Amino acid sequence: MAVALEAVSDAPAALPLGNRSYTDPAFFQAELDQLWARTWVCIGFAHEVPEAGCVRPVSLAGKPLLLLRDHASDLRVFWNVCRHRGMQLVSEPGRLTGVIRCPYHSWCYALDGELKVTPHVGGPGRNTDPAIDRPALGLLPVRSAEWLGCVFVDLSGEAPPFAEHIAPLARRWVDFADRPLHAASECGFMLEVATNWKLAVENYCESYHLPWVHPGLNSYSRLEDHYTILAAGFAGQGTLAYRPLLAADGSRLPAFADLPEQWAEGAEYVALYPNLLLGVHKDHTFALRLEPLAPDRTREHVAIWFADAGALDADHAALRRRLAELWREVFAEDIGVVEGMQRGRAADAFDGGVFSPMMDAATAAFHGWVAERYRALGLDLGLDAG
Amino acid sequence: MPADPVDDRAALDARLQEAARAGDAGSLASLYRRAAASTEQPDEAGFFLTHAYVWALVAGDAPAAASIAAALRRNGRLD
Repeated sequence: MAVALEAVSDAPAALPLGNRSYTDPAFFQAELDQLWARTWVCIGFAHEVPEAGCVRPVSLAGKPLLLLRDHASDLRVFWNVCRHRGMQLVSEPGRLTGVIRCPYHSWCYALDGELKVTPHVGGPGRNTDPAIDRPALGLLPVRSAEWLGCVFVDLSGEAPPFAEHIAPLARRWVDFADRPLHAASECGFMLEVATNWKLAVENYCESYHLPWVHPGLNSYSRLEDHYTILAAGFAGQGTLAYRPLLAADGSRLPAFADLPEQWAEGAEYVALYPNLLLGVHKDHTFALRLEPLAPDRTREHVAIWFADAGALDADHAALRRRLAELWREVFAEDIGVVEGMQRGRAADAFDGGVFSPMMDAATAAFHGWVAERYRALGLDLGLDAG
Repeated sequence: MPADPVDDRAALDARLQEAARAGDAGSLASLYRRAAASTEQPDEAGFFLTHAYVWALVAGDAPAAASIAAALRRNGRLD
């Protein structure tokens, strides 16, 4: 394993993003409409639709999507809109025993998307009309994939195949990716933060801030125990000194079976661009999904999965709660800095800053990824005061 | 012998409204089928059967939905 905080010689050239890319509504909209819509983005977690018939409306940057588990238990994503007059179909999470009924004119869709009936479409009591091609009017599907308990979509339908997109991280985390994960929904939580989504990614990528912002980690996870992770499509950090929580009686959460020695005291944290912050440990994984609400507002959805179904029993309830509380505290500690950096973006004289090759390589790599896409979209880097 | 309350149109309407307020799809399907059976007017029956079909689909009552769909098809009201 690369022991780190070594300068990363092949780090991409640092391309600091300017203030406007964090504050300008036009930049924000362009990112959502073009950058986010052309790559694989996480929209939720598989356990949010745990059983056949579960439906969950999801907003991806204001775009209405419907995450569901059909009656064959397959996970699907559709545009959450009726093919008739564009009515939003599902407005609340729930579990359906039958079809999805549009609340406007009661057009009904099976959970596999088939349009089942168009009531009165040919006049009262007449449910067909030559102008309405029912088989062609099923729900509009969205290209989707599931990995490590997370659900991804590609709105454009033109991004590279998900298997190709996830391959570098799937190879790195092959020890975790194909195992059953055990979600405890009571361990999930949500934070709303007054910052741009990119600052949440940047802060998560690097370990430079850990001793200052998370002083509680100093006792066992010192800065020198961390290393930088740089790869195509993600960046982050690892630690060589992960210590699982212990209960008062010395017991701990069960670990994944037969993990390689690397994970005995190792853990890794990466930002999978653009919006998923992931962590893996021998006894649990977590994901923090970023939902951008405005240039200076981001919602963070956190889910925790355990390594073994035994972790969900009553004996482990206190440890589960403590683990969720630990991560809530860590992510809450980050709020001050990501909100402070957002406020700092109002300083006209700030020029995007500088990157330490030793300590900021992951942040620089993320900026390189964003900058490359900005260029492809014809956007500048937002460095001028505008 | 007292009349079955649902034989009375006003009572049926009341029960339909109650079921609608409760979001009780199964009852709506059943009540609209009774409404369809209570009329001699083909168009009115088709109207009620259409509603019965929708609510049977919503309830996930496959046998009822299949039976209602067959009735609608017999009358050329469903493909």
